[in-house]
Parts: sequence; C-alpha cells; structure tokens
Amino acid sequence: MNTLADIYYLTKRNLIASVRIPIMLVFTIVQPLLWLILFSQLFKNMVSGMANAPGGSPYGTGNFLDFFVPAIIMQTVLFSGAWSGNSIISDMESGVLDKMMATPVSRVAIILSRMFASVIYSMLQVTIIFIVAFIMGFQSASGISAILITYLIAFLFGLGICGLSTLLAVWTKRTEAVMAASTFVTMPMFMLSGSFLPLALVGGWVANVAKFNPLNYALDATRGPILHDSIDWGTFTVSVVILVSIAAVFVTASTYIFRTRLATS
Amino acid sequence: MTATEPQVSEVVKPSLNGSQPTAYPSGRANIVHTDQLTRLYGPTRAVDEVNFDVREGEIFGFLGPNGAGKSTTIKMLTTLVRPTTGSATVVGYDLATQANQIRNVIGYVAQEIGVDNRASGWENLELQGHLYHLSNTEIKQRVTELLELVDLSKDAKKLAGAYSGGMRKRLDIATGLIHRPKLLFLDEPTTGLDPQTRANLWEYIRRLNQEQGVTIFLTTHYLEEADRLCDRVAIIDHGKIMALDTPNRLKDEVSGDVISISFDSPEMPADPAKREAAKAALTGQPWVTDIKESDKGGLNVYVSGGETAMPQMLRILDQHNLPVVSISMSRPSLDDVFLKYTGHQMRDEAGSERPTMAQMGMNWGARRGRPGGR
Repeated sequence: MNTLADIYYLTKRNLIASVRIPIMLVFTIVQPLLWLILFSQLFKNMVSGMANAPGGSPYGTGNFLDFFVPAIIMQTVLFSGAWSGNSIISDMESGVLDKMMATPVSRVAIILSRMFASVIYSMLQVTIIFIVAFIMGFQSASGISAILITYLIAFLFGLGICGLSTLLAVWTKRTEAVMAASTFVTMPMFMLSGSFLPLALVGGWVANVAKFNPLNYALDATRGPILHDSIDWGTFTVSVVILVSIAAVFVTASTYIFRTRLATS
Repeated sequence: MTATEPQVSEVVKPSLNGSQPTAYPSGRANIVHTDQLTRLYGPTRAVDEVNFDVREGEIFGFLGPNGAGKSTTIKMLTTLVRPTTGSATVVGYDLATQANQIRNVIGYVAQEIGVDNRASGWENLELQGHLYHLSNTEIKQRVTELLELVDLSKDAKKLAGAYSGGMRKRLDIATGLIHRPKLLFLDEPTTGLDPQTRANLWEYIRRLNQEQGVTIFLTTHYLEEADRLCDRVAIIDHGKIMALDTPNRLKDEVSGDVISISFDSPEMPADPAKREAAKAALTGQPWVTDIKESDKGGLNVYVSGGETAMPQMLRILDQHNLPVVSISMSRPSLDDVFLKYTGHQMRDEAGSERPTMAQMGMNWGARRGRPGGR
C-alpha cells in the first residue's frame, strides 16, 4: 500500500514540477500544434488528391486531418518520451534523489513515478492535439471509442519509450547519452513508419522494416477506428500485446537497474 | 609530542562492549556506534576502519578537509552507501540488516541543497511528510511547526526557487525534520553560505539540539564551525579518525595555552636583561612546557592550564622584581590541533586529492555547483 501511495505522491510532485517550467509548457503545447498545422498543410493535397483513386484511397480517407492526427499524437508521445529519462538524471545531479533515498520511500516508486508522470504529461499533449484537431475539422468515424483507444495506445506506446529513455538514463547517468540515443532511436522510428504515407505506398524494404517498428502498431490500432466506422479487435489486440510487452520489458529493466545500481551502492 | 606521528586519543578506541545492541536503551547511550567501518572506492580507502560513538543529545562533528571521508561516512550511516567492511548501529538498528528502520528515525540533509525549486516551501515539506508515510493531519501540523521553526512561515507559498541560499538551506534542514528524527545528519551544512547566514544557521542548529532534543551529527571543514558548534569533534584525515574529544580538550592536548608577557612600554624600551632573567625564573616550573622569545621583545610562555598558571607566573616575576607591563593569554586553535594530529595544515589539503567521480559511487555523475568532497 505504501508503494502505491509513494507512487501517487511522487507522480503528482513530478507532474506539478513539469507544468511549472513555463518555457517547457510553451514548447510542449506549441510544438505538436505546429506539427499538426504544418504537416497537414504540407500533405493536405496529397491526401485529398488520392481520395478518388481507383480501388479506394490508400489513405483510407479524403480528409487529411483524419489520417494525420494519430501520427502527430504518436510522434509527440515518442519525442516527449525519448527525453523523459533526463528527469531522473536531474534529480541525481541536484541532490533531490539522495535526499529521497535517505527516507523510507519505496525505491521502485521513485523510478516508476518518473515514468508515469512523463506519460501522463504526454496525455495532456494528446488532449490539446485532439481539441485543436476537432476545431480544424477532424472527425472520428467510430466516435468516442476511437478517442479512448487512441489514449490507451498512446499511453502504452509512451510508457515503452519512457522506459527505454529511463533505462538509458539510469545506465549511463548522462544527459548527453540520453539525448544522443533518443535522436538515434526516434528519427529512424519515425521515418520508417506509416506516419506520413500509408506503407502500401512506400513499399519495398521500408515496409518490411516497418513490421518491426512499434510505432506502426500504435498507428494501426488508432487509425483503424478513426477512419472506419468499425473496430478491428484483432489488430487492436496485436498492437496492445506488442506495446504492453515493450513497455513491460523497458520499465522492468530500468527499475531493476535503478534498484541494483543506484538505489544502493 | 611529535607532530608527524599522529596519535589516536583514548576515546577513539573501540569500546569493549562492541556487540550489537538489539534494542536501543534510553538515556545517554550511544546513538551511533561504528565498528571498523570501511568504504573503498577502487584502491582508495575513503573511510578506513573507523570506530567512534555518537552520544544521544550531543552535537557531534566530523572535522576534516575535502576528501577526508566525511561525506562517505555520513552516506554509510544514512544507508545511502554500503560499507565495504565493518559494521555500525544507528539509533540501535543494524546498518546492514535494518536500513529501513534506520531511515524512519534519522534525518539527512545533504551538502547540496536538495529542495525542489519548482515546489513551494510548503509543498516541499508536505511531500517529505508523505515520503515518511505520515498522516495528512500530522503533515499539516508538522509543516506549520517547522516553517515557524526556520522562520519561513511568511514565504511558505513561494516557490523555493525564489528563495535566497540561506532560506533554501533552512528549508532543506526543515525537510529533514518532518518525521521528528532522533538523529539528524548535516553534511557540510554551511558550505557556500556567507558568514552572516552561516552564523544564523549555527543558531538554528543549536536551537534544534537544545529545544527539540535532536542529536546532531555534522561534518565540516570549517575549524570555527567545529569549535563553536560541536560538543565533541572527530578529526578525520585520509579516511581515518586521528583524534576525538571536546574542542577544548583537543586544544589542551596540543600544547596548553600561550601566555604572552612583555616588560616594555613606549616609555620603557625593551631590556634584554629582563627577558633573560624572567626566562631563568620561569624555567623549571612544573606547569611551563616551553618558553620562546616573542618578536615584541617579550616572552611567549607555553603552559598547561593557563587560568591557574597566569597568577603564579605574575607572583614569581614579582618576587624577582620583574614587573610585567602587559600580559595576554591565547588558546591554541583547532588549526593547531589539526596540524598536530595529521602533520599538515588543513587548508593545504582543501580541494586537493579528490577522488574521481567514478570512484564516488553515490555521486552519480558530475554534480553542478558542488565544491567536491565526500
């Protein structure tokens, strides 16, 4: 019970602290909106131009926003998560972590609350993207269920990325390493996915590589219900299983490393 | 009395009842007891088979230069760093097997200020209360009390980032007290603070000790701080305790007191004959340990027990018809004490011989704004 309470209070503290960096708040809100607006303007005609393609549009919709919103959401969650490991490093450097370690607080709670706070913070970004997208004319074919599925998938995907970033952080204890590795992981992940183009249009080796890209599973599970009026539970289940597994591996690994290498020495 | 060969004073030797107490007895017992406590970082013996006791109710100080092993000792006793060998009991609990029980009854204030700048003073204390699993009503009451204690009630709602250095340190100390610890560890509490703030902080620490009855274990590399604040001081150098006693007794052991006398005044120029006569008269007295000529034409007489030696000295000089024009007495400083036990001056060493970060274990990475030391 104490561990759960510890997770709750520490997550709350971390969230409040994130919101209180004004410049960060600006970036976290403005950046995804910028992408939403720029990318959709850039690809707008491509999507609408294919709307009446023989055999149906490869995008599955004539409305560019419906296609891009899941991509912008996952991209935001991906980039935020990739940076999240730095927060535990800043706790190490500022002495806050030492101080916590001298209290009876659960060691697992310290590291889990960092990851949870980061993912919950991303959910705030997701909400903002949804609101602006709706204003711009976004529509969900399966209504509210598609929105809820998007939140669930974004949460799981984000948790995996946070876990990976935190793993790098507790392993290397260096901000530079987390920054370098996050670019190294996120950019290819983003490019080798169906974020901008349906994989059917990309083809070749990229489409094959994309089969191993968790971002694609996140996109598959969310795009389906947004574009179609029915939910493909098969695709959904596969995505959830894959994303949960990834999150479980990285969250457990980073917690384990934290406990064994940092929590006591 | 060789300065190069460090001696270990009697109190340092491990007590014979070295077996671990299972329950913590009340009264003036030892709140900390260490037995050959050792921590290695690679080949560096950061803390080297250290034995000492901290008594309940006292302010106990570790005095030594950066890198002497002060912080490493504190980090071991606060369960942050595991000893390589040796053992210790803290508030009656065994360090190796009862870490969580220890964490519940001790407070720890690190050298670097560990407050969250993005939370208010109130929020910092509130979170700390939750980390100790206190109830909400208890937290509310304690936070109010502690803000009062450290004079931050007015600034309770301000973010700690907007506080001055002294305020943040006071808040930091308050967070270490939220759960009414029996024992508070303060690692270099005044490092980096200006003299005014430092003197203020000493007042808070004294009040904590006297009014709240908190036993305090602090480390410092300021001689004055150890001298003015601590009931007992351990001098630590290269991971070893070189001496341990009250500041006064440590100073007594150096060479007693120095009585400076002079026979000349503006009207009466210095007379070497008088000086020689005085020297002859005083030589051989049992309380005189050494006599040296001072630069001012007088004498510096090293005595044991200056308060009783001074009247006797005046009587003898009077009997020899050697009227003293001025007389003054000074006590040796802890600086002299440090020199005696370690063979070098403390400030020679300050900042040098720091272990690399990799050797420091708990010092995760490069810490910003940290003067170094362990």
